Amino acid sequence: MGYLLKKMLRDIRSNWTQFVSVFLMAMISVLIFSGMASVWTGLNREVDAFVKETNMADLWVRAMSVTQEDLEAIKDLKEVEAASRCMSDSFSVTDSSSELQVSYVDNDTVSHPLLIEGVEYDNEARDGIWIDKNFAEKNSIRIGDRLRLDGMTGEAEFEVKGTMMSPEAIYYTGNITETVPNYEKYGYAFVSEAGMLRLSPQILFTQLKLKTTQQPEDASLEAILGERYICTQDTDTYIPFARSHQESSQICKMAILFSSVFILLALMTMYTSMVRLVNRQKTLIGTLKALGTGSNAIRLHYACYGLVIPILGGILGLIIGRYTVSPALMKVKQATIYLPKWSLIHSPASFALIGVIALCCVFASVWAAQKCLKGMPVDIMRDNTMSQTKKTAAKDTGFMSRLSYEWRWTLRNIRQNKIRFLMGIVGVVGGMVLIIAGFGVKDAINGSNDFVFSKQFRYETKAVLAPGSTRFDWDQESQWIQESNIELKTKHNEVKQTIMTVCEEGDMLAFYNDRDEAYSLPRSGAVISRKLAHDLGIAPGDTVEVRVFGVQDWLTVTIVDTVKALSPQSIFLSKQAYEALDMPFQPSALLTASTDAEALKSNPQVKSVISRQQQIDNTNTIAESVMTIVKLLIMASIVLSVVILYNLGILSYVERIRDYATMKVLGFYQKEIRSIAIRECLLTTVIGWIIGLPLGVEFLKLYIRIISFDTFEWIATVQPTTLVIASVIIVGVSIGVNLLLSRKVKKIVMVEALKSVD
Amino acid sequence: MIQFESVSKIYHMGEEEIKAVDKISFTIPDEKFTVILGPSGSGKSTTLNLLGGMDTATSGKIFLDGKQITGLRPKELERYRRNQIGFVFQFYNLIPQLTAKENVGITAKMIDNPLNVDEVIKGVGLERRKNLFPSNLSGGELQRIAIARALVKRPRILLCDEPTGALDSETGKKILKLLKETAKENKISLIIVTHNSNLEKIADQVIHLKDGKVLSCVMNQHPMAIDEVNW
Repeated sequence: MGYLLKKMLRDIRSNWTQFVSVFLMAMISVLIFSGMASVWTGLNREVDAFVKETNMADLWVRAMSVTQEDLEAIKDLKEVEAASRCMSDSFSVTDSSSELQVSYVDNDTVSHPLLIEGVEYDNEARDGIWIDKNFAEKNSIRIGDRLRLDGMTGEAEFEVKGTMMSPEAIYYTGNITETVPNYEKYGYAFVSEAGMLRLSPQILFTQLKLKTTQQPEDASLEAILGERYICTQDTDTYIPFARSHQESSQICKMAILFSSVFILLALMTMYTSMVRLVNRQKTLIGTLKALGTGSNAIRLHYACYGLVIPILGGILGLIIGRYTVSPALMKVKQATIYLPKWSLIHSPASFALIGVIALCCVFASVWAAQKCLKGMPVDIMRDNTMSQTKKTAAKDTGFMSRLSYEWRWTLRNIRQNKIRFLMGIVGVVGGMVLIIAGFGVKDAINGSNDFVFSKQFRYETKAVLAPGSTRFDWDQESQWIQESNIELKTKHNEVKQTIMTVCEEGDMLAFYNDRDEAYSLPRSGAVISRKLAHDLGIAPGDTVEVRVFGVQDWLTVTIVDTVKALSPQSIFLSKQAYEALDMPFQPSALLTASTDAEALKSNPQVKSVISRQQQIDNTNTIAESVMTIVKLLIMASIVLSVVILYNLGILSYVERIRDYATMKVLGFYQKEIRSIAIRECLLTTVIGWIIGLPLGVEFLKLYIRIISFDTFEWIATVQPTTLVIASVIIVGVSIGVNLLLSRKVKKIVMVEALKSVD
Repeated sequence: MIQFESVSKIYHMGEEEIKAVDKISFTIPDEKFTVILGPSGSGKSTTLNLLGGMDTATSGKIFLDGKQITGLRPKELERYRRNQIGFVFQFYNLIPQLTAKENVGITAKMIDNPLNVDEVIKGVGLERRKNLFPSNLSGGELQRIAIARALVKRPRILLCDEPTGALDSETGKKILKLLKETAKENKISLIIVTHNSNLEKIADQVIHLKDGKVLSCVMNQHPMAIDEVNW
């Protein structure tokens, strides 16, 4: 066996180009997968640790008000282990555009924030405030600084006693209509009871944080809270927390999606390389059998080829992925997810993946060798010199007869090497698909943003009203809207927390149907954005029930139509339709064509102002995070295309080197030989390109579905330039590879090539 | 007429210098059947390769009809092989994915005025087998196709490297007969390198090589018919 090991190493050395391809495929697939897996494994681990350390609630109950008696009654429920009451409200920082969500919790046994710096939270500290670390950093606030807030009863000044982080605000946007965290503008803070009373005239608890063994029935909560009960949210629906899991799941899906393409190609490369190697070693296999080597020993010998290369490639992929993909992706995620600590942890799935690739490659190698092990040694040896061609006479009729000799040769060669040819096509298709998806994501994001911010949102500035405020006079072109958090119950009793937008007459918010035609909100009934309708299985004509947060009654609303509203994902009603439900229209925001943000900011009724450009920038933050991953994938897909096409070309070249040498001796010119040599690669490229174009677009749609979040519908659009770029890259790679191979034809030493027949 | 003037070919293997042919000189007249004879390592294949423009000499000169072959540029050598040389290999070297006829046809396509493909195949006696792939043909049939492929482009010189080396004696005789007759018919200079000394009896000229040197170069005044030779 020791000698066979030596033989294997020498075989690998002499066939290094094919084995390098297998090595690279295994490396790239593990690199991408493990690079991403390290991030989601680390993210999940750190989130879990954060949750455990802070004893984060697993159920949040919203109610109009929660009394001490309610708390005691809820604590007595058998499913509830611990509970605390929370009052929180948003307050503007004086002389600043930022605002803090300030909370007072009656006991911090559940969801106690993690102290990062300063002194421990003290419920007796009347003028102390503990603010979130990211808000402090972004606004250059230090321990001991004084912070003034615009309270309901006037301005109140606090001393910053500490900075903290809460797992309930891992993904904190501060506002229902914001899509990404913006800690310069929105943050959260904790104060004592006395502190809260300096901001608010009374303590009114509106949230219960529960630690439960299992979720209590809504009915039992309603029985205690009565009409004050609004809704419950668990860890999957409480967005500021749930988003971390969503993002982790998104990375996981992307990793699986992309790695599977590379794994498939690694297997095909391994199989074709081994088939070629084994076919060339038939005499040797026959000799080994004749000398008494057992079939199993020979199988084991060839199995080792499939074992060693992918494992080495996989381990290198694991190492490189850790230092390239992982930090890049982690940096992207750190832009939106806030944790006290980040770590990269190798996922067991990455090691399993290396094992799976190695096992499959072993299987491919043994399968290739298996064909040669059948029969007597003499039969195996006899089959060595002549390749398996069609045993019947060639009828020079039909399609083939119309082709040149060169094309007949190429097509028959392809017929004999179907898997190699298929591998080439899959390689080109894979490259095309990944490149189209890569650039297509950019198109989709840009196209969607363009649609939202040019066609859908026609305002320049959005002013969010302070709670309890009413409309004010504004002489610029504008439109009042009411945005409310709602619970939406479908006919299948599925309940989802989402947004409802009620629009007064105006042109600041436009709607479109699927044909991109302008659409006016109906005077009765509601319309729903397409993605939300699709996610909830709602069709026009369906009736849904809606409950506005803070309102006890469920409203029955008929969905009249779906609309192409990419953001927010919401149900939309006209003011008339809303009022027809006996609900008063209470505007929560003003959309205006004016760019005079300062004038709006100075209005006491206005809580915050955001320009359309700021909203674009926020959306771009998400886009950038996706683009970083996409860039990695584009690079990987180009490497993939080069490796596959080069491997295909080199396999074809090596197998036909004797034929080319013969042709040289017979007097064929270099260019004539080259034109024959590139035909297979050319055919592969053309077929792969044709298949890759539509498949790339379909893959993009799938990809967009995977990376989309609940709040924004990205439309999978592909610009012609993207298709051109993808085609140029693939054709360019193909030409480049062929040029490399052409140079090899030039260097064929006729005498050497014709010396032996094996 | 072909002339070798003090031609040497030296290979280097590490620090060792191997003289494959060492200052060999001889002349081959036109339209004659010449056998280059010698044991393994005598330099006969190297001589054939140099004459066929597949390899370049380290020193010395080779002339064909007074034109120097040595010193030709790669492009010129390509043209020389294309227009002047026909080559028959020991192991046939047919393209396995092309039928017998296609193997001949693809070669015929590269020159302006080739012989008729079907006629040539008929001439080598394989008219009925021309649509078969090489894997369906016997050794003798494969060599016949290889000869047809060489002849179809009307070569000036037909070079054969052990053309009967892989064949049984009877088939070998038939192939030699075919080569000799077609060369004569087409006024081609036929040069065969072999280690089979029986062939010296049938050739017009015999060049003996040993250890890279010419031992003798003699004209055979009375070549025997191939059928008269005992293998």
